[in-house]
Amino acid sequence: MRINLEILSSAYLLGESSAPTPRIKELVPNMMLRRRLTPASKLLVELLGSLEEFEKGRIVCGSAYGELGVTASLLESIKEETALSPSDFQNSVYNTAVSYLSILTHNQSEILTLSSGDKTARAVLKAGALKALDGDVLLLVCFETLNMPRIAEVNRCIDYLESAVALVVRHTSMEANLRVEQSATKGIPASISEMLFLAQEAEKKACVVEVVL
Amino acid sequence: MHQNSVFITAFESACCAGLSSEALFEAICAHQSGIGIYEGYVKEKAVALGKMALDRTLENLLHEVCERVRLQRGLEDFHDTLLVVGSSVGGMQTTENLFFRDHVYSAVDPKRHVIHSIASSLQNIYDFRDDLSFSTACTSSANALGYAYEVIKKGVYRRVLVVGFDTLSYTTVLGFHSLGVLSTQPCCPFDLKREGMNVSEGIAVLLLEDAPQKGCVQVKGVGYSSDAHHMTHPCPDGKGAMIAMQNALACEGVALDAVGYINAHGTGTLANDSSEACAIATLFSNRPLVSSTKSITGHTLGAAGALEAIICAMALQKQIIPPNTQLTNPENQTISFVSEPIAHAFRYAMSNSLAFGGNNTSLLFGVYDAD
Repeated sequence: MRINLEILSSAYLLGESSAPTPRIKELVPNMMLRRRLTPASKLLVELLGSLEEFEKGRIVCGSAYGELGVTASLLESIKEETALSPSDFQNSVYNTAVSYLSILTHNQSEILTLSSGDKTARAVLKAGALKALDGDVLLLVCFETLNMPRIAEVNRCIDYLESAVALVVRHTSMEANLRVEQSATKGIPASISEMLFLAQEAEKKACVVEVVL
Repeated sequence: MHQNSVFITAFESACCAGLSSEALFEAICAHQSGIGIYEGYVKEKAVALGKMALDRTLENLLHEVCERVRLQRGLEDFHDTLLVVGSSVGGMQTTENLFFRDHVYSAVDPKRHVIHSIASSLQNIYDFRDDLSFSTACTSSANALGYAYEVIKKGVYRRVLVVGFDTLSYTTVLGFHSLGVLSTQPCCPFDLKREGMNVSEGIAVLLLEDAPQKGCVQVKGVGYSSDAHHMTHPCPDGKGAMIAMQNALACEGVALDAVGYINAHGTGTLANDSSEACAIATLFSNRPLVSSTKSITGHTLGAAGALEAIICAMALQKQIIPPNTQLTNPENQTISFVSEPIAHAFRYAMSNSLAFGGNNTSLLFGVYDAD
């Protein structure tokens, strides 16, 4: 099945060590709440703050590695036989970032997180397209936060250790002017590449993308 | 838009309470818990966990369970099938083994660490047409089932294999210990004396199709919601869980009072059970029969939704309500909990899955009448 999605709004953030979140204090004025946010949550809050046409609604999120920093912190604690941080554990699940988003925006809608390795962005687009057939506006997001100590021991090809991309979409009967491709930007995680391509194209023109399920 | 009906045409499972679905259902009805007491996970403390006694790897067992489903349905292959996986930890156990051995990450293969490692392993054997993996903590495979229901209902696929899979890792056992919710004994969901949950490993595989087979069970709906309340504490009034259950019923217009049995998420933690009980009691004035089966299986985390979907399917097929073992003094007296297996004529069963981040998913299943 082929489903056309109109991209209503888009945004992305890329950072070699950490991606910039200049509006985070304004977007989350409560300091205690802000300090609890994980790196990925901050990226998603920042992206949501710059998007149009979406305040609340269904969200499909994707990440191949989740919150890698807290996962590494848990492994270090276990190795060192020290007590695990309960915050690290609760933040290690893959749906942490969008869950914080739902709490901050009081969004009680359906929120899903996919993790399909290098195919994650495409999986998010497919799941988003399927859901969009119901007629509502959806937020699709992908992120990777790989900036953990000793990442060099496993990372051989990713330059941007923090990255996030968001698309606000709805199903349309309009003709597609775009197909899903990899972004031309080098050094980004493969898991966000196709979403990034669409966000970059949407900066230049009004986009209707054809998603093949 | 035409909407297809969705049927569960084959299923199999393996967990600490039985290496097949029949063995599991028998264990539940006989109150034979698969949970054991283990030392070595938590420092200077024994905890109750659900571990399988195996002479092969969990990955090999996963392949075997999928193969049993393929043979049960009489399929030659899965080439036209979508694979949808739900898991909360993916390849974490593999990563732990390497990291605790070497103390460096160099030997860790990122492709064997990620959630997607499960789908990759199965793709190598079966060459599915496509695959997607969900990771939403304890709702992972419930969301995988929900997605499978939607792709078939909307006519995108005719056949979907849903796999719920999670292993016991130090990260999850010690993580739940850090939250103070691990029980030292097999858990007793909904009981006043409950002290926490049991982390378990498990595999559950279901084949969903758009055409019925003899004796199959129908999927009648999926409902999703978010608590938007707290990362680890559910909303005390159970509002989020209630919305998910209402949404599941609304999918195909099943009436509230038609639901005969609810397989509750019922983990045995103080917060989950009181919130979920509140949601069920508030929503269902007809008092359907309710049980949690986690005192037998433990909490298989990302696999729990699929495992409990199988328990619901078998309850509908056998017209037997599985009991809530170890429940002697229910905290919520307004719910019709079942403490012994009972023969009961009923048409619809609901399964709740509730996760960190306030992620809620309810699945609704129904008896299929061939005529």
